[in-house]
Amino acid sequence: MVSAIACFCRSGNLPHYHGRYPLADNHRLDQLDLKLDHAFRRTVRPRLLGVDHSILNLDLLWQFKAAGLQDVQINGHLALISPGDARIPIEEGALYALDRHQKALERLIRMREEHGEELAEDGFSLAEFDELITLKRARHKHLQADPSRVREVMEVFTQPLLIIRGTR
Amino acid sequence: MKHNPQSQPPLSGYFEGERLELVWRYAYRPEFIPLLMDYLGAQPGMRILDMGCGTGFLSRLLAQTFEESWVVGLDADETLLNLGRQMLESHGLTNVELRQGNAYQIPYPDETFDLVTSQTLL
Repeated sequence: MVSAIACFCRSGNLPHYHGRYPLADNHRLDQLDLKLDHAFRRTVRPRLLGVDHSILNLDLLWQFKAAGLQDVQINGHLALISPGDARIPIEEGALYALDRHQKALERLIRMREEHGEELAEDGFSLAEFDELITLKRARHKHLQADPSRVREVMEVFTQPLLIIRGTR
Repeated sequence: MKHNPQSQPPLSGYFEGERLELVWRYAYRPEFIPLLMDYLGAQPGMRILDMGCGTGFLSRLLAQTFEESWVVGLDADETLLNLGRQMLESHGLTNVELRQGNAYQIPYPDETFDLVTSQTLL
């Protein structure tokens, strides 16, 4: 029996829902985030996954069968995590939120380097990339400066898990 | 213009192993664990190999759920394994072994294990 646990975020993240810290340019950050997400899903992600136009064409079962697994089953689980929850210690909640922000920022920077030109052709310019990186850094620094701010917003993150199981 | 992510830890006193433990602890809610065991196909008495175990979060969970099982966690990172071993000791778990090794050269003969798990290894 072989079982594997994977995250959706490897193949392009599901949206996670940000609380709104009291920062200027929140609206602009949301606008750019959404625009980039649409461009990435339309232009880059299907190609990376080896499907023509849509993630809906991805055949995970086939991929695991091709690797030699039989009786493949895939189950999903979606955990919702709100680090500002009063049951979670402030420092721990802030650490969780900052870690998720930082990973998202690192992913954004890597995306700019690896796919920036391609996405620019689809309408998301390199200047917009830079602006979004700056805005996300500002949000990260805002929380980093005072971890208790994690309680000021009900930020919710998703942690999707795929459990893939088969025999060989 | 070259961008560099902030590389320092977000808060003092934490390092990678503790961060991983935190992330998995929040993802694995108590109500999810029985479902997970069912999804994984884990059964009492199984010999289980957890490849890429890191700090052994999943290895520990498997060993706690099935005390009569034997679980081996395999990872290349000795630092993460050391944190994992401390946690095993504090939990008093004796049916888990965390071992340094390479997933491409598993240091056990074929048919040693009934179940092989991996969590975000690929």
